[in-house]
Amino acid sequence: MSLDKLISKCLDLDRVAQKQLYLDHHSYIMSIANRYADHVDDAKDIVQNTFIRIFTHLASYDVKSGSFNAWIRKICIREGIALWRKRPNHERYFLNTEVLEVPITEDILATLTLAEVDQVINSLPEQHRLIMMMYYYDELSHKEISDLLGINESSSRSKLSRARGHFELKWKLINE
Amino acid sequence: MNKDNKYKALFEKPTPDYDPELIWADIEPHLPKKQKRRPVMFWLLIGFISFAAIYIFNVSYANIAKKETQNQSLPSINIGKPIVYNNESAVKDIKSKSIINEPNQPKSLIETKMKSSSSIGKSNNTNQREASKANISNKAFLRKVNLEKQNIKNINKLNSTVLVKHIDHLETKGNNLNPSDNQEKQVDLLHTELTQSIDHAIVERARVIIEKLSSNNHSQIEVNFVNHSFDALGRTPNPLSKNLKSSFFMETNAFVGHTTQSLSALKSESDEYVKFKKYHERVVENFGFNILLGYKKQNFTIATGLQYDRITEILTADDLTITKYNIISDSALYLENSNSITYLSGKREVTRTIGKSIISPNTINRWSIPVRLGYDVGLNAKMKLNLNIGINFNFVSQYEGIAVDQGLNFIYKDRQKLDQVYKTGGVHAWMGGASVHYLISKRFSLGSGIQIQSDLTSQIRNEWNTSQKYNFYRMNVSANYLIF
Repeated sequence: MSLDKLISKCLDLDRVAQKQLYLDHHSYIMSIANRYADHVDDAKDIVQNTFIRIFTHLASYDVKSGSFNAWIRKICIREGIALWRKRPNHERYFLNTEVLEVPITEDILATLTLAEVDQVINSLPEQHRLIMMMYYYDELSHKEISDLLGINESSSRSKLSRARGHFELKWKLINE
Repeated sequence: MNKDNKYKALFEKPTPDYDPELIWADIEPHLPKKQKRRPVMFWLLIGFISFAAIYIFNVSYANIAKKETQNQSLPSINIGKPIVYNNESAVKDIKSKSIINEPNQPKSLIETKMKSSSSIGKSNNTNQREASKANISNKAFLRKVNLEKQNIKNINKLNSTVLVKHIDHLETKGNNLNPSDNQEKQVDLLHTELTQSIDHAIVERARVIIEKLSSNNHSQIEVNFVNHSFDALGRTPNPLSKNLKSSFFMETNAFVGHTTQSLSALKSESDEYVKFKKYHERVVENFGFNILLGYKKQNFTIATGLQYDRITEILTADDLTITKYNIISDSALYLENSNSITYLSGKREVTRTIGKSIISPNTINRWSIPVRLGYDVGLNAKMKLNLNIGINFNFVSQYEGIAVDQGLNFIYKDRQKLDQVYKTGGVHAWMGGASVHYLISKRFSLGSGIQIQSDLTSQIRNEWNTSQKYNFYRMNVSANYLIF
């Protein structure tokens, strides 16, 4: 069944069609949700909330505005951000104080392995990491990022630049 | 690998194992359920079909028993005192009362009226007109929207572009706006509220929502509505139609019901005939159909087309012919099925009875042109009540059945030939009715209801000097299709 027909049946509240739509896209949504979640239960919550919102707002999907995947992707990202906002404040900033207390220099970065690079990523303030992920992985514009996170567009740019600075150095070191 | 891809690769994360069925089980209870079809229309339709079937079955031709005794002589003997005739007397024939020519076989988003963009708080003549049309005072509307120019943390200005769509698919949602919700969510919820409101007063609903938003101290709220007009069924008219509030439609109705007649004699010599007809004849069912082409503007409709009505009368009577004649016989005559012997010297009288009982359905077929005015009352987004009144201009009616002559004798007509009934022109009737329609799709609806039709002018039968009118009480089913 084509996607248009499936969506049409979902709008008629055909439960079989709705489940089919879910089964066709749940793995895609889970791959996005997983990046916004700390653990699998949070990812499942994001997936669940995403599909509830998809089916509730399916009537507002306009094929002219973009692909269906792009539309559901945005919904999922919003749900991911919403879940991130619900976390207690101290969880928003994952700080490896040991790392941050030591200034990052070229010598130090040269000794880092890839696993430690991951640790560097996770050591960034959550918002920095989110912005980096949304910009590079989800390919959102700064305007979209600022709308989602409720920050200024210029703030989004500066945070991305700061996060990227850390990796620029290390990548240069790894690839030399 | 370029820079962007390398950063992208950093965020790759393996998808965890999970059971999608478990997640679906948590999703499904939150999904809107398909509304069960209202049983009213279904049972109304079933009731109408059952009524029509039983009614037609009871008076159908299959239940009309014809007892034909034509061409069957029933010899009988006048038991009693023998009649003695003189030999010289001729056979005396008693002529029959009538000559039998041949053995005849008895033979049914919501006018938003909000145009383009409207900034709340700014004087807008369009808003004033439309708000007043929606029975909402514009002053009260603006007064309640409390705009406070304050800088809100992370939100300086809320600009919401809301496209109002699919107002005919409505459900109530109980989303509450939380002051701590971010701009995106509030816009989203606003959209949800407007597109999922069952309330027809879309402006009222918007006011409530904007009240909530304004209470969160937003400095400016701009809500853009797209103008939609809906008919009483909640359907969006064809965008090709310039005037969204008017449209053409096609409708077909089928009806069945009970008929009564009023019969009167125009001259005194017809009194016997009228008595005879009233005694022997009863009008039973009628059924018919029409096809209409109509025009609808706002809630008013006008339609015309072609209508067919079939009226059935049941004639019940005895048609007997008694013939008595004498035969010459020199011997006793033993008659079959007779317990006595009558011996006549020379002559005896034989009585033959030829006759039959008549139970005949006679029909009148009418073709007429109806002109109907109607008014739609919206019951909800899916249903409407249609009230209509009109007149039928009958242009041809034909009668098929058994007639009676001036001597109250039956004249058996060839049923292949239909007699023109009206010598003085067609019979016109007024009609009125009410039906409930259910919207099946945006253009198509089905309905069922009741109708009364009554002859305005009389059916004049010159040969009998009688005046006859019919009254119809019937149920109808109808199908309506919006053309454009």
